[in-house]
Amino acid sequence: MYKYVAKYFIPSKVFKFCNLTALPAFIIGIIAFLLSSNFVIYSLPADIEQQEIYRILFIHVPSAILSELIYLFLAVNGFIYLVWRTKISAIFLNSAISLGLIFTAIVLISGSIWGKPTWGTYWVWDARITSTFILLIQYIGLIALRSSFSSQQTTDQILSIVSIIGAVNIPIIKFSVDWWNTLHQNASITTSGSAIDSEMLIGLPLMLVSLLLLSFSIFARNIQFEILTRTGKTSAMREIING
Amino acid sequence: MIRKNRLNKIYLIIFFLLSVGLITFFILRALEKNIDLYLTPSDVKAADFNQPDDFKLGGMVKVGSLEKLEGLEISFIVTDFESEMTVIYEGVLPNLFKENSGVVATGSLNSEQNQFIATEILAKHDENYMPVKIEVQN
Repeated sequence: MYKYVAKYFIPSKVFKFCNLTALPAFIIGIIAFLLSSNFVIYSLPADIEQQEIYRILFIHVPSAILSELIYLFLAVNGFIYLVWRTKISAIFLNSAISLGLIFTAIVLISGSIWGKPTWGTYWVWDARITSTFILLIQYIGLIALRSSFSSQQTTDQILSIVSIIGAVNIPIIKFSVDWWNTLHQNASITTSGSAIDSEMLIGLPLMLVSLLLLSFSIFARNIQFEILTRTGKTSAMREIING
Repeated sequence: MIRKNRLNKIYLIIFFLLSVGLITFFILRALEKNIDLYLTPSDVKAADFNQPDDFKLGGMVKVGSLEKLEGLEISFIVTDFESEMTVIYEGVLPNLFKENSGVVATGSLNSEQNQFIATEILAKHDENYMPVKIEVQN
């Protein structure tokens, strides 16, 4: 299997793919984001309990999903890098960190804005919020580690190890509301169905897809940057750029 | 076919991850009481309860228990469907505070240990979201 997968993940091929898709993904993503924002703000009905403020859910929940998925992505790439020494996984790992940081920050900020009118406080040290805050610190730590070592290989190895250890926090975030008593409510969408009415639920996948497209475009540009800095000013780099 | 040295690496990482997970599990188990945001009325009524300073009390506001006293002062009963506790509070309430809904109050017990004097009230809402329209149709 390794043989078949590996031939598609050569840096020059990935660079070409990213170069081709980054801009279209960004344009489609921006349009989709504006349309679905417009849809969730103006077309969806208000909530019985929370009235209009519940609409912040449509930025809060997709960002939360992405912040956790991106961390798992880092850990998986770290794992692959440590076992198979594939350069491309280290490149993926490095390129995704900043995205995860952005989404974790969005979750905390939007949750804070949402908390004041509903719960009555901007911040409370309950298990869900604290573990998400720890995730933010983990991302900041990874970014700090990126520029802490002189050799690229050491950096990649340390980042892989740290991101794998940090993945322990992801199930803690997910199950924090079940394991401890918290101010944050339980999960709305579970395997047994959705506690969000189907009429409102449609906004969630729309926002998730547009955020995915936007983050892919940033991710692709990060990958290109990462590949170029790693190859340096060599003939190999010229080959990559010129195809 | 995965080469032997790679397989060993995979085992090493999995073993490593399991150990870290286990360590975290035991730390969280040991800190369980500190991670919980609030105590329930049952915890407070329990025989071994001994917390003289401020703490958080959480549960549901019992239906029909919300009373207006003089001024901004209110009283209500917090229940976890096993024990109950009367709460006295004076101040501004969050929007989602109402009967049969979750609440987390910060404060302390009064000298007779039978009432909870709250200094801050937070509302805890549930995970259900319903459009306004349905209520109108009913």
